[in-house]
Amino acid sequence: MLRDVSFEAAEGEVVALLGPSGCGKTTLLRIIAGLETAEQGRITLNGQDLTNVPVYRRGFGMVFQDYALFPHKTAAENIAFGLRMARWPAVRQQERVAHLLEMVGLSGMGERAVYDLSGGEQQRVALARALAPAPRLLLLDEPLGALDRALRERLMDELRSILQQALAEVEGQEKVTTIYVTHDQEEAFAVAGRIMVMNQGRIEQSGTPLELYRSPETPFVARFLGMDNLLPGTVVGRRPCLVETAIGRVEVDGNCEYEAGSEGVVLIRPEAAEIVAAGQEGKNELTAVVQDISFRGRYQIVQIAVTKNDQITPLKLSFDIEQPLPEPGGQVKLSLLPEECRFYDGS
Amino acid sequence: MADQTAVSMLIRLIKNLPINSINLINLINLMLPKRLRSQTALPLLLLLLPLLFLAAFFFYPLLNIFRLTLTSETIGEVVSRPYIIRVAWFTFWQAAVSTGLTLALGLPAAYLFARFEFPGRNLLRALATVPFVMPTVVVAAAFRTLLGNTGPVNQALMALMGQERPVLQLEQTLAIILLAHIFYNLGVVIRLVGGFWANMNPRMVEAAQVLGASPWRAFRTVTLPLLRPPLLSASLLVFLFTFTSFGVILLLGGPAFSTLETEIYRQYVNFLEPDVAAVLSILQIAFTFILMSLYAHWQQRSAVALDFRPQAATRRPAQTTLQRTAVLLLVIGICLFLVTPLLTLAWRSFVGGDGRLTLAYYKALPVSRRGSITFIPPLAAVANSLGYAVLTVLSAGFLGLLSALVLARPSSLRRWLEPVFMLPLGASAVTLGLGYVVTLDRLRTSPLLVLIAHTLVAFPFVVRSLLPVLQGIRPSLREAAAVLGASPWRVWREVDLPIVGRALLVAAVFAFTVSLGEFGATSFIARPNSGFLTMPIAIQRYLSQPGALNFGQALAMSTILMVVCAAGFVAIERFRIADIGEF
Repeated sequence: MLRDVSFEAAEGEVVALLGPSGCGKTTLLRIIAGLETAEQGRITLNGQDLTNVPVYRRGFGMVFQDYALFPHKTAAENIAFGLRMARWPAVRQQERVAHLLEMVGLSGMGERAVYDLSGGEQQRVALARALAPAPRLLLLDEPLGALDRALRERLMDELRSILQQALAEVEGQEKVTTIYVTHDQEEAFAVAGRIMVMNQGRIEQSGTPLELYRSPETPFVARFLGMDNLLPGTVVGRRPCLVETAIGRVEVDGNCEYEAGSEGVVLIRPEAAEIVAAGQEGKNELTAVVQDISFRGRYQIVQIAVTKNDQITPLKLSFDIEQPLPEPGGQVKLSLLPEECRFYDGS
Repeated sequence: MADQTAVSMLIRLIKNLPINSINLINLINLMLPKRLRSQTALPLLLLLLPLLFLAAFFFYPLLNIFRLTLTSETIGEVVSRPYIIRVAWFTFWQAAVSTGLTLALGLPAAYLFARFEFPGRNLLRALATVPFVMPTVVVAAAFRTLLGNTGPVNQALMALMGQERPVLQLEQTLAIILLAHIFYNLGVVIRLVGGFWANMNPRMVEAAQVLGASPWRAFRTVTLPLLRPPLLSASLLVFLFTFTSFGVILLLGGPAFSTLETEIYRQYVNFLEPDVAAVLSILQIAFTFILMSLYAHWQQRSAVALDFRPQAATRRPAQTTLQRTAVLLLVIGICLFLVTPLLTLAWRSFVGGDGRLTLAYYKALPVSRRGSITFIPPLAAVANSLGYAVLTVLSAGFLGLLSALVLARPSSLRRWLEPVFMLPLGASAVTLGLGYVVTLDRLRTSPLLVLIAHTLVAFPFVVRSLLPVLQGIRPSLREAAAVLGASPWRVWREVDLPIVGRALLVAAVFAFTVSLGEFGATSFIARPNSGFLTMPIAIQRYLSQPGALNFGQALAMSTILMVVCAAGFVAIERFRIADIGEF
């Protein structure tokens, strides 16, 4: 059930609807497409009200989660379907189909039957089919959802370049705007210019990937983006903002508007920690035991455990790959940068 | 200027008005009270015709049979007669034994077909199922020809063993009944169980073996439980078919054997006791209804996909000597058992009394002879049958398509409507025939009655052929077409129709062959001195009379029937898409 959802997309933008299953993102997409009707609200395109226009007259393109390729037609026939509905002359249809096959990297495979294609190939045909009639708006419903991880990684990059190519398809037409629905944060970050995080029918936060990552506005968004260090805490000081948590008193970013005694959640971003050298001091100092170190290329994910008052709190931090760290089991002294810590009111 | 804007506004308004049929129906929907909207309104309208048909020509005649018997204590009295009890017992008994034997032979065959790749596999599998579409009269004639006292098997055995009298005296014995039942139903087991088996992931058995299970243990604890749904489906289906077996018992078993079906016929036609016949019909309906419910229940369970793999991926060529021998035995067995009777039938129709090839029997078909038991030339019976078959395709096809279209969309209606539509499949044709002669006697002189009977019998097959295909069309396909610019009617034309087109052909062929071979109901309705005798009835009458010419003509007509049905079957195979979960 969607509640009070409202957003705009600029021409040529790639907007992602990101959220867990059941948050309403697919429903929203289907309403935009015209496959479902909202009880209230309007859909407008360039000032034109489309709310009552039936789905087959909206001129959008859509890629379904299961691709929905017509099994009784070949790849080329699938791609040409929208062109046939729009009554393009046969010659132009052929040209356009060939052009699109090339664009998605399937040149020469037009005559293949749909069930002879692999998952990745089917996905590309579905994309080509949606793009063929040069739609004003492109709707993608978890297009990479049905693929295995390796293929998904590869296609994520390809998708971005295909979308940009489609954007550059001028021919005197407006640029294609894209709305991309996914539950995978990585996908959204890779493909979209603006992301809207949805939760239980509402948009929790909207912004560029960088904005979202830098300052998630709610614990839900933070958790969804993979930030696990969320500690319940109580405000004990206002300037600077101090919060009492399981790991001790933490100074967070900015001044608090919250009364002392307010309950809430402290987010410690993975990049918040710095190693304190011997003899030095830092804000939000704590001593922890290293539990596990996992290498991820340019950075390393370090799992630590902070013990205070007989309570053990795990934290997941991220360090530069060059940063020397003790072996698992060893102790380490850290300081947390206040500007990377944030307090959310409520629990 | 103002006029222009007004006009253009008006034009735009008109262009945006929903003036197509779907929106018209939506309009009607909006006028209905909220509870009855879109979900039920349109489907109900479409369903009206098939429902009316079923009500008038299925439920009404059956209810009349009920009425007939409930007026007196007839039921209790008849059912307690020792003879009737024996008949009922025999019906169960022979069905159970037939099912058991069919399973015993069918399971290994299913396994071999499912797991092994060998040349001619597809052809052999198709051949194994041909018997199923054969009319019972053809099967009866074929078995009589092959295994009869003067048949080639006996002749060969007599020559081999130097005997004067026939070695295998199978005519009118239980053995030949059982053989015929196996002949008929082996294909059902091979298809239902084999199809499921072939799609099962072989890795599961391999996993069991890695974990320490012997091949037999793995079979017992992994394969068999997983096979339970199709096994039960197949067993129930075979039991149902043998339970309601009519032609085989009547023609091959002779007067010594009687099941409920044949007893209904005899009581009405020979003993002129419609009351007793009606009581037996009730019994029959009750049993088959229970069986059908069980079947529907198990059918649902087997519809759960269990880690299916494409069939070709799970098959291997036979490797060990044991496997090779098994496959060879399978091939020989099927050719011998399933193909030979039909071939013999065809061959004998060309052989005269002097043992030489002749077309005499075929030539006698167009001739109406005085003293002939059919008062019309047998060829007219052929023409009648073909005519009925074509009309049945149209009527059963039309009604079946309407029903399938509605039943395919998910709705609360479907759950209890689908079994209702499938009921004619379980109701015995003989009971149907009895219902007609009792109820619709006014129509008895009309050729329409036979058509109605055939339509009813063919209807469930049509629905069964169309429904899975229609249900298999994912909604996202229609949505994708709509987004790409196809109006609702265009969606139907571009998505539904092409996909269902093949299934329609299959359904048409089913209806055609079912009508051609229909025997049980028609035997009640068709009168000898009427112009609408059908081929199966004519064959039966010829078979029941002595004389080489009569027998030969029966064989000739049976061969024609056989060839047409086999051709129809080949067409079904060609056009059918689904391979899992048939029937």
